[in-house]
Amino acid sequence: MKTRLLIAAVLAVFVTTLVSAQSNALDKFFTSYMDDPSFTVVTISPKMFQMISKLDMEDMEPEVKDLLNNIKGLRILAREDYDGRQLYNEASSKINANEYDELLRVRDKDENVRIFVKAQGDVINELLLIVGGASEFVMLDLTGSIDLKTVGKLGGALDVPGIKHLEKMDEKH
Amino acid sequence: MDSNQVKILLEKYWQGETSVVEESRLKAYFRSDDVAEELEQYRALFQFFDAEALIKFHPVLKTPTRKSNTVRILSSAWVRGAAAAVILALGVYFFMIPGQENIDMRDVTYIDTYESPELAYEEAKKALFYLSGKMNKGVSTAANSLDKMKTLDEIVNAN
Repeated sequence: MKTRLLIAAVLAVFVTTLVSAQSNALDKFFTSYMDDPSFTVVTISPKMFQMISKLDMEDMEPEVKDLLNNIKGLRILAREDYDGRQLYNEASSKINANEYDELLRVRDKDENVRIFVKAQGDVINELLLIVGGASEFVMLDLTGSIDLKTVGKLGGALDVPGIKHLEKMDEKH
Repeated sequence: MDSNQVKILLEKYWQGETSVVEESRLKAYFRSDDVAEELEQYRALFQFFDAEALIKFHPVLKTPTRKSNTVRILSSAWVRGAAAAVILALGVYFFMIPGQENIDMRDVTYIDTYESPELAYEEAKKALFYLSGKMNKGVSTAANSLDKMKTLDEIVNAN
């Protein structure tokens, strides 16, 4: 009887590992490059986000603080001065279409941008940004509930044209 | 029993109104050798009924000598253990899915880059602004194409 239980347990672990390995192709992609010194890697853990939420600094923008309070994890994998288009394609191919919805895709002469979200109903649980240009590659992965409208408004401070269009777009929802 | 009587009985028989006695008289008539020629066509039918009545049910019951292979495989402890393991694993998998927010702290990709929350805050802020910029770039690119279409529209309408 003990042997049987042991076999069952071993199989359970094995199968679970197989299944989770399949869904985390993106994690694997991240892990495979994070030790490469030519990449810039930034990770902020849920624990650190908790500490950030308790921060009380003078020059904190309330919008940013609100956004960060709801974010649980951040990962950035970036490489500069490098043709990022191949990495962009590689990262794109790791995205499971069943898990993520594509929010937007921009392709112009100097770079490709794709934004994916993992949503449950109206709540966005994860956002993934992939940028691949002739001289850079950026992958940004945000976990937690993300308010896209507020994120879009942040750019207003930088006076990026198109903000008013985004607001119009959101009102339709 | 003459053929006219038989015909009357037959008529009743087709209507389903004959009694058991009448039916046995009909059967006896067709079993006999002097069946009228005009009624010959029905003889085969009644003979068939007789023949059918003779058939007895002989149930053929095989004593199973041993369990078939399928049953043996399914009942083996190994397979039961494996099935339990698969079900357990699926349960764990589906249970974990809705809680994607619960980031596995042991995940190597979540080892903090910064030790101070102030620095982490600055970096996260930069990331948000970067994301915002890319989002707006997408929207403005779309808006620009819309503007171009509008000009085209104006040109077409002007003519």
